[in-house]
Order: sequence, then C-alpha cells, then structure tokens
Amino acid sequence: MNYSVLKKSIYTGIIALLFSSAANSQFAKDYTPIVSSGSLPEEFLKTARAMSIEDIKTIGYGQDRAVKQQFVMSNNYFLKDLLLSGEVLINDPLTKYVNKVADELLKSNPLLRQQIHIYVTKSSDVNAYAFDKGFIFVNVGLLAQLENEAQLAYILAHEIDHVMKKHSVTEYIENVKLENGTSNYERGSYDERSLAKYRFSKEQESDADMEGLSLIKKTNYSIKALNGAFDVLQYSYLPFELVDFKKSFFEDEYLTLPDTLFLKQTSDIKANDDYDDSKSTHPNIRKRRGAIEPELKVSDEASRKKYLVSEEEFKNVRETARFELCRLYMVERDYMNAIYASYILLEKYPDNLFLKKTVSQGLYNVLVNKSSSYNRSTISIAGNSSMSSRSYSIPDYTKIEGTSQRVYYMMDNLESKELNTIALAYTFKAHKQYPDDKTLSALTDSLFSFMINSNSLFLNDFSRKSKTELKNQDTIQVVKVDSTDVEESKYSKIKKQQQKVEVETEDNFTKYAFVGLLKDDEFVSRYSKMAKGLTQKPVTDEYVKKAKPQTKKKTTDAPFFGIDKVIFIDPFYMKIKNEHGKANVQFYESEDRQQVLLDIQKKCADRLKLQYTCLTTKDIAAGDIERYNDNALLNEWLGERFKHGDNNDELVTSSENMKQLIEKLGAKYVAWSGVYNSKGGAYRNTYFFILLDLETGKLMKFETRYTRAKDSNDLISSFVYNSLMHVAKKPKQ
Amino acid sequence: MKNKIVVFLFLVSCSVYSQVPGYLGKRLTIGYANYLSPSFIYPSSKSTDRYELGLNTTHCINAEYAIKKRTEFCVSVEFYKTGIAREDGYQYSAGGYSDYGSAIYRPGDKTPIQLKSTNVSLGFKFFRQGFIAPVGKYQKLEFVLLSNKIIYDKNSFYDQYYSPDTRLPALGLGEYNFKTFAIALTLGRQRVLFNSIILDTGFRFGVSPNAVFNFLLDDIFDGSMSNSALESQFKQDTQYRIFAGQLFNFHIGLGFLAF
Repeated sequence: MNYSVLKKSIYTGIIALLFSSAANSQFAKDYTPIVSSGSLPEEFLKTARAMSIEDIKTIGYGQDRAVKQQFVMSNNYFLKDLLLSGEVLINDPLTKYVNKVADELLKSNPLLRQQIHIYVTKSSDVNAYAFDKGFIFVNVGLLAQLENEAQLAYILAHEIDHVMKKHSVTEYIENVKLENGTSNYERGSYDERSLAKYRFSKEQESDADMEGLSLIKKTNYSIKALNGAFDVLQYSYLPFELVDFKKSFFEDEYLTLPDTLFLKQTSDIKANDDYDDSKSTHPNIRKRRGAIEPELKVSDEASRKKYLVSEEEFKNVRETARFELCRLYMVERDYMNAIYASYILLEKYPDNLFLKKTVSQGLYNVLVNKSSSYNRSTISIAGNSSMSSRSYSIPDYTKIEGTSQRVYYMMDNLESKELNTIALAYTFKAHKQYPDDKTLSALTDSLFSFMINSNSLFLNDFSRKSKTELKNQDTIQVVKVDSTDVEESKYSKIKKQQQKVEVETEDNFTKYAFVGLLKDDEFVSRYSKMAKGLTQKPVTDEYVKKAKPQTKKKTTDAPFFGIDKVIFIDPFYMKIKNEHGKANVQFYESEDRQQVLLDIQKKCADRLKLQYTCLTTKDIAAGDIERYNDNALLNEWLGERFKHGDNNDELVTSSENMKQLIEKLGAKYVAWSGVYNSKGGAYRNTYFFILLDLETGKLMKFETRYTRAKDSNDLISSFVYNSLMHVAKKPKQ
Repeated sequence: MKNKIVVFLFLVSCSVYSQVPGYLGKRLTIGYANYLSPSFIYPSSKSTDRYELGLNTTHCINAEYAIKKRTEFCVSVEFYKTGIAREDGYQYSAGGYSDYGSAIYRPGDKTPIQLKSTNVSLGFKFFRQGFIAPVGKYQKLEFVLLSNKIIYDKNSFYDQYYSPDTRLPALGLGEYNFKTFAIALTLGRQRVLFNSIILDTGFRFGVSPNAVFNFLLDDIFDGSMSNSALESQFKQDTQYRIFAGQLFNFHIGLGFLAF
C-alpha cells in the first residue's frame, strides 16, 4: 500500500471515529425529546375552510363532483387537525433529513418537489402516508426501523406516486360507490363488492410500488438495498433490534431473580409474508416483493449508493428516532415495548438518564396496574360522571415473538410486591447515579409509598444479611445448639428449620433484595420516613371491604375546587347530520360552533372571575412556534392521560416536561370541553367537560351531559357555566 | 313590607356574592306568560250552545328562583277574565229569593256574567336530566289557588214569562266570591335569548277537583245535586269554565334574568 493512501485511510478512519463518537456522545448521558423549531410553514396557517373553498374551485363538473367535494372537506379538516395537533415535527433534525432525501429523490423534478411537503410525525407505528394535497408524513416508528437511506428514499417515492396520482380521492370515490352499490358495485353481495374494492386498493399500492421504483432508478440510490424495505414492513411488529434480554439487567450482588421468571426458550419469529390479503388494502409482502424483484436488477448497481445525503446523518436520525420511540411507547401506554427498547439502547448507552427513567417509569406504571386493591382504595373521581376505568393489562406473552417475549413473561409472572421490589431497587440505584434528577427522586418516593401502602412491606420485612451470611450463621447456630443447648425446645427447632428452608429457596428473592441498599443511609432514612408519615391507611382486606360501598355511593353533586386559573385548550365541536342512514359531518357548522363554544367559555370564565389562558391554535401565526410546541406538549400529555382513564395513580410520563409550561402559563389545571351534536329527526347533544391537574395527572372533574335538544347557545352556556362554576367556587369548609 | 325587603336583600346578596347555579349565575327570573286555553263549555259570552269550542287567555306574572341545579321554585299570579253565557235564555232558579220562583237573567248589552279569577300558584320546575335550570325541557308541578269573583247585574232579572215590564227587583248582591284550587302539571321548555331574556313555552294539564266533581255530577246525575240557590248556579256555571281553563293550556312567556 502506498504511503499517501495509507495516510488518507488513517485520516478517514480518525474522522469517522470522531464523527461516530460525536454522534454517540449526544446520547451517552441523556436524551432531550425533539421539538419543532423555526417558523411555521404557510400550509399550517391556512384554515381548513379556506383550503376547502380553494380546492372545491378546482373540482370539475363531472359526475363525481359531490363526492369529491365531500372528500376535499373531510380530507382538509382531518389534515388541518393533524397539522395543528402537535404530532407533526417542523424544522427538527428528523424532518430536515427526510426532506434532504426527498430533495435527492426529486432532483430532476423541482416543480414536483415544490408541491411535496414532508414531515415526520410522533407516532410509533411503522408507517408513512400521503395526502393528495402533497403532504407526506413519515412516522418516527418507521425511521427507527430502517436499515439505510435508500429504503427511506423508496418509501418516499412510493408515497410521492400516491400524491401524483391522487390515489386517496380515487379510493374515496370507490368507497362511496361501494356503499351506494353503483358503478362496478351494482351486482353481487356486500362481501363480493368489498373484495372488489380491496382489489382496487391493492392495484393502487402495486402501482405505487412500481412507480416508486421507477423514480428511484432515476436517482443514484442503490436498487439492491430496496429489497430490505419490505423486510422493514414484514418485521415491523418486532422491536427495532433483537437483543437477548438478560435477567442480570435488574440484578445486583444481592437481588437475584429466580430462573422461573425467565423464559428459557422464546418463540421463533414467524412473520408470514404470504398471508391472506383479500381483505387488505395492500398486497401481501411476498406479492409486493415478488412484483418488484425482477426490476431490481440494474446494470449500474455498482455505481449506486445506499446513502446519498449522509450515512452519519441517517444513523444519527435513526438513533434519535429510537430514543423518541422509547418515549412514544410510554405515551402510548406500551410499557413492555418501552422497557425493552430502553433495554436495547441501554446496552449501547449504559449511563443514559432518559433510558433509565423510561425503564423506571415503565416498571412503576405496570406495578400500579398490577395492584388492583391499591387502585380501589385510592381512586376518587370528583365530578358527575366517572371516566371508564382502563386498566392496563400486560399483553399475552404467548403471542409475542422474539427475545422481547422474556420481558412480557417476566412482567406477567411477577407479583405486585416482587415487581415493587425490582422497580424500587432499579430506580433507587438510578437515583443514586443521578441524585439531582427530580423525577427519579419523586419516583423513588412513590415506590416507597407503594411498598408500604399497597404491599404492606416495611423495613423489617427485608433481610439485612445476605443468604450466604444467613446460611453461615445458621450452620454455626445449629452446630452450637447441637453441642451445648440440649434443652432447646421443639418449636425453636421448627422455626430454625423453616428459616433454613426459606434461605435456600429462590422464590423469596424479595427478602434479600435490599441487602446492599439497606447499607445506604439515604435508602433506610427515606423508607423509614415514608413508613412513619403514612398518608394513607394501609390496604387490608377489611379496609377494602369497607371502601367498597363508598365507591358505589352516588355523588349527587360535584365538589367545588376553588381554582383561580385554568388553561383551556381548543374545545371540540362536531355537528352530525343523519340523512338516509348516513352520518355526515357538518364541517363548516362544526367550525363555527367551535368558535362559539370558545367564546362562551371565555364569557363564563370572566363572569366567574376565573383567570384563563387559552392555548388555541385557531389564530396561530408563522412566528408562533412556541405556542405550537406548547400546544403539542399539552396535547401529548392529554392523549397519554386519557389512555389511563380514571386511574389517577398511573404516571403520566410527559409530566416532566409539563413543569416548564405550568411555570410559563402560571396555571396547573387544564380544562377541555366539547359538544357532539347530531340531528336525525331529533336533536341529540353530548356535552363533556374534563379538568385535570397537570402536575399530578389527577382527574379532578369529568362531567358529561346528554340532552335531546338543539345545541342552542343558551343550553351550551348553561353547561359551561355550571362546569366552570364548580371549578371556581371555593369548597365549603 | 319590611319582611319583603329583607327577603329581597337576601336573594340579592346570595346572587352577587356567591357563584351559584342558574344561568350564568343568575337565579331569579321574572316574567310574563300568556296561557291560552281552549274552552269547550260555554266558551264565551256569545255562546249559546253548551259544547262549543272557544279560546280563553290567562295573563300570568311569574317569578322563578333556581334553588338547585335542576330545580326552580316558582311563584305566579294569574289573571283570568271571561264572560259566562248560558243556554235557555239564561234562566235561573231564583232560589234563596223564593218570592219569585224562576227568574230570567237578561243583561241586555252587558256581558251576561263576568268571571274574574286572580290565582296564586306555587310550584317547582324540575328540569330534565342533562339540563340546568333555567334552560331546557322541564316539568312543572304546581298548586293553584283560585280566587274567583262572579259579577252579574242584579237588576237584570225578569219573570220567567219574560216581557220588558216584568223586571224583578234586584236579586242578590251583584257579585259572588268563592275559592277553589287546582293541581297542574306543565311540560315545557325554556330558552335564554341574548343571555338575559327567557322564552318559556309549554303545555299545562290541570285539574280543579271541585269543577270535576260538579261536571261529573251534572252529566251523570243530570244536575240533580245542583244547589238551587242563585249564587250556586252561577258558581256551577263558572266551574265548568274553570275546569276547561285548567284542563289544557298552551303557554308562551317572556321573562328576564333579574339577578
């Protein structure tokens, strides 16, 4: 090898190493969730109505005009909701990168590029989707699974074809024809007609696959790499990596988990790619792969590359997506995947605070749901209605494939006190590593409290000596007894024998779990402090029995809260007209009524001298990215909290980021209300009002009213006033 | 008067200094309503047939106070004025004035008999599930005390073989007062317009037991139980009207949210 080549290789190696260490270093200690930045794009600022009016003008006077109008409106309102929901990321590293790939893809067609708007959305689903208006959304879940940039380019090319050929509207028209039994759907049963419609959809997908490939061929992206894109789809239900889950993850010198908690053999990955797709909108993977495979052979493959933008950037984006995915799993209440994904990343970044917190929070939330008696005694819903209890249950481990099955199996088989012990040990150790982190500290306290209140385990229930120490001690005692204490009673001998058996068995691992931690003064003092300052009566059978009738007691009136400041978010309003057995959303009317409800809220709050901040995105301006992010944060928090139903104990993981928002807005309560009004002969109204504590996640008030009446302003005003009156009025002493 | 002021001030203080149920915190509604009742028996002074359809009106001033989220306490004063006609040439038995036997009442251009009722009603409005007083559908249960005054021209009685020169001396006092009561159920709906005006519409079904009793007696026993006294005959006639007036009403009212 010539010297200059060697020198170049060394330099390249050093630079690559530096880059890779730089890339890793940002995740080594912590991870900050991605947020939007810069200014809001123009398409975010247009109202759905303005967009619809504009689009309707472009619809010709063909036979499908009415259906197209309907599509345009529903599509625009749905799109607008999505754009302002906060799920869409703007000017973040992920979106920037995906757009760079799109730039490469459409280098030869700048006009088309201008019409395409690509954003990354905060969703764990392995998916990308397009709107006919030129919007393509790529989920974080998909980015986390990709192998290379070429695969991303191919997925984008596929979606671009959907946009170009306006597949959405065509499919919508087909759906309407199917429902009405017109055109090609005049004959045959409903099932036969459905199958015909699915065939139509599959044809569109196959077309997009082929056209996407044609588009890719015009670029320098590797064609060979595309085959992997179908692997991504085929195995999308599996975690982004397959890493063996070891029980040592939760163990230490003293906390030893029994082997019975771990599956010796996990299920094989089946991932059938030739499944029955007759009732699917997409052809099965084998068909899709088979269709493009003959086209994958190109003569210039050698000159083509997997990465045209940057391999480093791709890997960095994918890593960010994987971290974000851990967070999204928590938000979406998928605790098993959150724990396992964090575990995978902790193998790489063992000191990452974010990942440790995710594991702790995941364990805590599983624990809270495991202990039903704890929930029964602590839940108290303040309000007229009760939100449905949505208890989280661990998915059936037998249906899980791959190594993550061990996590499901272990969590399913752990008893409440065992899980509590593991969670406390893990969280306390993480807290010792990051003593300044308030979330970990608070979580530790919650786990101590759970230990005492729910599992009735106190310091004395844990051994301060290890099994080995006890065994040695026991041997000495036995020897001592045998030689000198001939008078020892029968009962003493039985007790000693029992102790010996207990030491030897693995099942009581919790007894020896804290041997190491009990040497830590902070652990002992916090545990003792929590035990002394019992805020709740320990749950005993008797207590639970007593508590039961109270839960059945009907509350005649909601309590008053004496709250002086509340954050309102955009209210919900939907007007439905039932005609000829079909429910049609009245988009314009719903939008107008939403504004009315917003005004009524303000007026009622003013009358009650209730200070309010309305985080509305109705009048958002280009420079309002901060408001956009605040709204996104709040929406995500609410989405997560609603998944918990009336379970006030389950931790809302996004609460950590909420503290800043609370400080900024000066209010820690958020209110959301809405009306669902339908008319089909008679009017039917459903009004709801929800009040939540952003700090604790506690559901303060959940009120619903069902009336058979027109949704007149006075009716809605009376509802809103009543709800807010209970919020503002001070409770009776 | 002093008591009234105290009650008024108490209500004002309750409303101003606390956040209460009611529409935007306003609990007291004061309003006017007009009750329209079809009348089937001698509906007007011009009626000659006993069973004839006519329409009567009652003017009502009411005050309603939201005491609970779905309950209002209602007080109202109703004014009802109508003429009562009678078939058979308005022939009455001059019982109690026995010197004359039967007498024919011929008031000329004047309304034959005037019925003036001033009724006081106390009741509760129960708003239906989902609604909050004073908005939405409600059921009102009320007790009505009817103070009735019958006015007639005591100098318009003639001998039963009528001729203008057979006018009898004044019979009775020219007016007769009696009280009765009714129990009524209203199915209605209230709306608030411009956040201050109340629009109240509904149907009322009422039963005046005395009237029912008399009505049944008259029909079933052919009036055999009727009192022969002149005033009693007037009373019986008016009770038919009261019965019809209370039986079925449609009302429309306007009010305002006071405080």
